[in-house]
Amino acid sequence: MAEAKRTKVDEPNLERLLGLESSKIGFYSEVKQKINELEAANLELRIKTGELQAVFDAISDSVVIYDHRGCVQHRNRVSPHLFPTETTIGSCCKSLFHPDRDQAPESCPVELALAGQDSQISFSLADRIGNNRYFDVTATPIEDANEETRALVFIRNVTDKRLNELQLLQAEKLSSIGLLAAGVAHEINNPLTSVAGYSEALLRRFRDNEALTSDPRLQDFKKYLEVIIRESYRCKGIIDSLLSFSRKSEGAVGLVDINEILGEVLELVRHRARNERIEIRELFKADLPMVKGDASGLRQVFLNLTMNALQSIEGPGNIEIATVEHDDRTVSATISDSGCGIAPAMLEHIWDPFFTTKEVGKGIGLGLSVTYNIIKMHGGKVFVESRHGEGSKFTVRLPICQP
Amino acid sequence: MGNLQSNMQHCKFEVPEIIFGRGLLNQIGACARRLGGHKVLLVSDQGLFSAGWVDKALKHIVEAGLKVVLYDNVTSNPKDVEVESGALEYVRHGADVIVGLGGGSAMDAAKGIAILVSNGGRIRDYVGPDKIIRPLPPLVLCPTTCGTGSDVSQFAIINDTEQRCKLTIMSRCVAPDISLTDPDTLETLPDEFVCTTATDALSHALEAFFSVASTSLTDVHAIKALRLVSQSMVEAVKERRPQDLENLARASLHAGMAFSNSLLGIVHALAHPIGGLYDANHGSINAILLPEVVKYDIPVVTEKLPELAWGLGRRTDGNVDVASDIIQEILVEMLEAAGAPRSLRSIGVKREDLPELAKRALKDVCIVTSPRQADAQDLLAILERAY
Repeated sequence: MAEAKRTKVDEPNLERLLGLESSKIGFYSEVKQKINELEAANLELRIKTGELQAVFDAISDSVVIYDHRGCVQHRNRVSPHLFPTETTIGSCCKSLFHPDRDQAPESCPVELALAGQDSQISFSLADRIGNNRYFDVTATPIEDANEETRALVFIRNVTDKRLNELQLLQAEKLSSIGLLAAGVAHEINNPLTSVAGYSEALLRRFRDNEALTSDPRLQDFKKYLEVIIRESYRCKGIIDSLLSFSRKSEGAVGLVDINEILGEVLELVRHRARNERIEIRELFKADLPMVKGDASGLRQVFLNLTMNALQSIEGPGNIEIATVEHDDRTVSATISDSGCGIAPAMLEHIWDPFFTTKEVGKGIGLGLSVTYNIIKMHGGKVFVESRHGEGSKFTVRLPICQP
Repeated sequence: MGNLQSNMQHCKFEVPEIIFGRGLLNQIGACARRLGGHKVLLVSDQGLFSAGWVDKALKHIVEAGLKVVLYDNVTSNPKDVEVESGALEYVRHGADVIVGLGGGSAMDAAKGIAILVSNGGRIRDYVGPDKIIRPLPPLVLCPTTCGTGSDVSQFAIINDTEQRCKLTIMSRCVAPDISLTDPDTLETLPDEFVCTTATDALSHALEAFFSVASTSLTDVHAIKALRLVSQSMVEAVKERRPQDLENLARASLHAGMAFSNSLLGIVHALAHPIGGLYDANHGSINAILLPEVVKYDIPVVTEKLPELAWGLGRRTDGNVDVASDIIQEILVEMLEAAGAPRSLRSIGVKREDLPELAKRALKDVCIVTSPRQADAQDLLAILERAY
């Protein structure tokens, strides 16, 4: 056996194996690193969340997210403006889509989405002053973190669009009726002219021919002819109104002062108002800009509206006529009365030709449709606010003349 | 650290939290819970399962309010593939604390699993210095044999099945957080394992005592371990009295604390490649090599011999020569009385492999702290004598 030699201690090696540095790796640095990573991730999440919220809030439609129980979980900034109470956090889909029923109808978009179906519906809602607002709704199922189904609901306010559509429809209807009426009126005019002409000729013969007058067998004829003539002219009157309703304006177009026109109209109705103890208040804006238009047409419009106002008042009452200048280069005249108002069901029909609530013989239901037509030709608008039993307020809005 | 022998101001002694006592296996769940775990991967082997200890451990873990997944496919000389499939179980079930219950094999497998689940890769990637860069999951180790020391050490020895060698992983990271010893578990340990694991503890204590990195802090544990083994090993094998078994469990713990902080020597440097090549019992290999290596070392550790003899229960009045003889005598006597194998041939080692084994032993980390220098020739000579 070789000589026994002590091991030469390999210091660095031993230091590595047993030295002060050799110890367990602590968790602290690892944990600290994890915390740092998480904090960075958290910050990023917060930024992302903020961004998403900003996008969410910038959407001009109302966006509402309903949780799996059908209660509002999130909503964007527009929602409370459109639906102050119906979309508060936690409120149920019932309050917006079926306030009158506890059991959700099959058409409830939220319930459909929670059942996994996309849906699109439209609905309308009366606001606090009774105006109808129209909404289009798109509902889509989305999942939440716990894999529960939620409903993502977009609600677009389409009131203006819908009203425009309705008005367009109305205008179409009116113009077709107008064309029809004009044709019919012409056709009737000719025979009526013959009827009236021959009747007048017969009447002249009666006046000029003694023999006929004194013939006892014909004693009632003169009276009959007078009735025929009178009724023919009454028919002609109706047909003239119809023609004026449907006729393209033939009035001379010039600069018109609405205040002046209203003054003329009031002259015509003042005596009647006095008789019926109706007070008329005039709130005219001084120096009202002129509009470009047909004075006689506008005169007819305001006469119609004022007469309607007078007729709607039973016994004492008051009418207020006001003119206003607006920022959008329009002027408006409002005629408010304290009369009987218009029933909501009637509101959509008042512009229809031949629609009237007056007794037979008192009106033929063309006033407002003529009014509507004339204002439309002037590029203006006419609309009404009315509370049944409290009165109505008609507003005519016209563009002012561009210098 | 500097020269550990000459410079006693520089020494480091590191052990995990240690819990020792009969019946304390019932603390196994509480320990895992204390480390912050919610779901335990219990790593064990079939022997423990048959003896009923796995069921007891499971019960205690569940009683502590934890969930538990059992992985008991560990075999002796744990294989890299076993460690990999254990790591898969850990990840698949979302475990967050590892409890090893068994001998060195189960505990080393638990360590290997802990490395893979936190650092990734394969076990062979972690041989060598500072390969573990991330902290391991909490680890509780419960030895059920009386020799391994794995429950306090920074070693994990895993067999590489492709290269047929032992991978020695050494890192403080694989020392467990808690070492929990319940000596009662030794009562079901088969006789031959009482013997071979006790000889493992004996070789740990002796090699730690002779190590160039030994300090007074490790010496007290080494001597205490030697004392307990010399008192109880033979008795424990023959009579299996609970007190003797408990002494051996305690010896194993002290020996483990010693070698964890002083490292080992030629016995283990040679035993690792042999175990890798033949899948032979580690304790048996140590028992065969120990007398030869002690004989080889004695000339260079003469100043330590009297203390060692005293530890083995003999007074020598400081006479080195007497001590030297006595030590070798007692050692051989003890091993024979306990029925330990005495030759490499008897455990299946082939003679033609000896040069290769000697060459591999030179690369083992344990050679670094051997008190006497050895080259391949010296190692081969030791192997020949032990053959």
